[in-house]
Amino acid sequence: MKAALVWGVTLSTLAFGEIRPPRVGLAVDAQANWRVIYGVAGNFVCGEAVRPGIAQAGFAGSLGYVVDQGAVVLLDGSGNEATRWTVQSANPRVALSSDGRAAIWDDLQLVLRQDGAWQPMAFDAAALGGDLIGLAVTADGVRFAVQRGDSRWIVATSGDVARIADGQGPVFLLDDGTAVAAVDSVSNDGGLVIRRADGKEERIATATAIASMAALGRGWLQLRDATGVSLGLAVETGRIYYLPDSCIVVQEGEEQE
Amino acid sequence: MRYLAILLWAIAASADTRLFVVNGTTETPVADAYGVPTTAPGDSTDTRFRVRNSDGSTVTVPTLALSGFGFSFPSEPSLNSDASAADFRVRFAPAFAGSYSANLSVNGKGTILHGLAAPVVTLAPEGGAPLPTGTVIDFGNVQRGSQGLRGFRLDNPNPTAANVTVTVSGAAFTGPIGLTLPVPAGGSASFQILCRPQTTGTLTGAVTVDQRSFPLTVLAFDPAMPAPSLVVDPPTASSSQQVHLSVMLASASAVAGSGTVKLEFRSAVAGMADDPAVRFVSTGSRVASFQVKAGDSSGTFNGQPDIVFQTGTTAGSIVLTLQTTDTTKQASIAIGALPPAVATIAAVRRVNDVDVTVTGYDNTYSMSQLSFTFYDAKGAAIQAPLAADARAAFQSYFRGSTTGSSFLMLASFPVTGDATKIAAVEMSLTNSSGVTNVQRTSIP
Repeated sequence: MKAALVWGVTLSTLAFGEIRPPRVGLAVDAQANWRVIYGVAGNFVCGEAVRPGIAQAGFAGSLGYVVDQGAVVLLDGSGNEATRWTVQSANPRVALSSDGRAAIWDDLQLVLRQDGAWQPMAFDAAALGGDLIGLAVTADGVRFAVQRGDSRWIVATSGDVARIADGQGPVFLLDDGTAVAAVDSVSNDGGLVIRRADGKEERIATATAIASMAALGRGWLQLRDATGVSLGLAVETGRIYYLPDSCIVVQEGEEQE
Repeated sequence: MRYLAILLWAIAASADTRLFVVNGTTETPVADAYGVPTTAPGDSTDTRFRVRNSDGSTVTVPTLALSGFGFSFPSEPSLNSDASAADFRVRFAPAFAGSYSANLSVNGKGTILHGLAAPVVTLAPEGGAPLPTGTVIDFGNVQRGSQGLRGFRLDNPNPTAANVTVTVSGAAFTGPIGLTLPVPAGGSASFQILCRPQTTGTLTGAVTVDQRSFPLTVLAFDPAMPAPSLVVDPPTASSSQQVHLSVMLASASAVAGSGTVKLEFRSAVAGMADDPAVRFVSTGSRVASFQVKAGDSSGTFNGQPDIVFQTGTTAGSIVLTLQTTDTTKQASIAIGALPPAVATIAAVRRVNDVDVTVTGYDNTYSMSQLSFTFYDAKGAAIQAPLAADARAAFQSYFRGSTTGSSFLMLASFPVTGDATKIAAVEMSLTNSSGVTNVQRTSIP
């Protein structure tokens, strides 16, 4: 079924690469399992638990990390350990990029992983002018989300500074320049501000205040609200969905109550 | 033979009937007279008598007769198992104070019974007649947490004032309330008993006037929760949706309550009995419990005003069953068959291939034709659409699927020539419900 050559290029009949369950990403569930989430937006299905006993983790589409026993462990999409970096603090900040780079902010030290090696970076933490609350590895370096007094700022290694939101709360920086901040100014209950790389902002009301954010998968963030409910934010559309949080993997035809 | 008959008559004649009073296992012989226990007017006392033959021979059912005001047989006499004795009872139930007597005849042998009705302070319901000892006082049905009040009267027929002891027992009962003692001679004193049950069911207690006890009883109940109803938002649903479910009551509930909502998926697709994604998202279950607090007009799920469930990716219907202790309600949400749904599409160019990745779902599980059209940077089609029959590939995938009909399809197209000239792709997907045309997607 080759078509006529028109523009000096011809496509042949498709060769199916594969058909498989779509994977949204990996999320930490209520039982602290880092677990695969399958499905499409609005229709999520629990998959296998990749790592148990995890409090902090993230997944960026092909690369993930967990904070486990004093180390940041980088894992591939199947949960296999790629490398690890020993950390001093219990709550290091970790950022992943879709091209396989990673950054760790630990005990006021910045470490980058690129080209297959960890590289401690000389960086003056005092230059941030506040407490670091988020981190991203972007095409032009590393960006930081910083709490300065009662407002939150994005600080780039290039020196650029931009205010993202007032007040306290989590901020998540994506590698494409998008920033997501939890705010209380959208509604009485809570909300999110999504600032795109081009500077456009969207404000999304949430039922309750957002307490934490983590990378769930390519284009997805896992949110936990103040009551502990697990949510998934599709960053591109700005839509929020409820994520499975108490996963019982059900066999086909099984009636589970 | 004549001597033998005379001897048998003599033995029978010598088997004299003897009468006893039985108290527990003790038998006390009764002579020509017996005094039954002193009994208050309006009350009654039963005395158990036993008949034996003096020689220990078997007895027959005795012939009994009783004459005298206030005395009666409450039941028929009976033989014991080996016929060695026969028992009967005599009831003494004086209506008024005074001395009583009666003649009791057992097999023709007479005994005088004496009885004394002592004047006592009697208990009567407000506006009613004195109650015999042991009369059950029923407070009827009382809602838990509320209260019922009953009035009573003590009557003293004696010529002197009476100091009586009145006690009320039972967790649901309180009293006596408002009683002033002594009860004047020939007069009355009133009091009340409060019934306030804190638990449900049949609750008992007693009111005792000196040694005379009157059981108290009440049936405590919880009022029914107002009729609950299911509210789903949005009210109609399609595949791959998250639907908010709440339980509303017809009015504010006077009591706390609880119930469950159960999801059941009924597939309309042959060979696909279930869809594992149809469940409550937060719990991963198909049953959710809700609670109602007293004063609330809606239920809560684990403290939340609603709970979210997914509709899955299979055509059919979702049946919601709401159940409380006294209500069962059902609602059904139809999940209609749809043309293939595409959630994401991405295309990448490699050296000798273009890869198109599509995620979506086919809630009919009948994907058949796929068609791809590639465009150059000016928007002109590079060639005629490339079509493929995907039926077998998707059927194979769906047979083993544990994620409903959602899929990720990677389609690779070998390229001959300069692949950089391929700038965009359009595609269409066909199933038994129709065709979905996906908008043109750029190839970066």
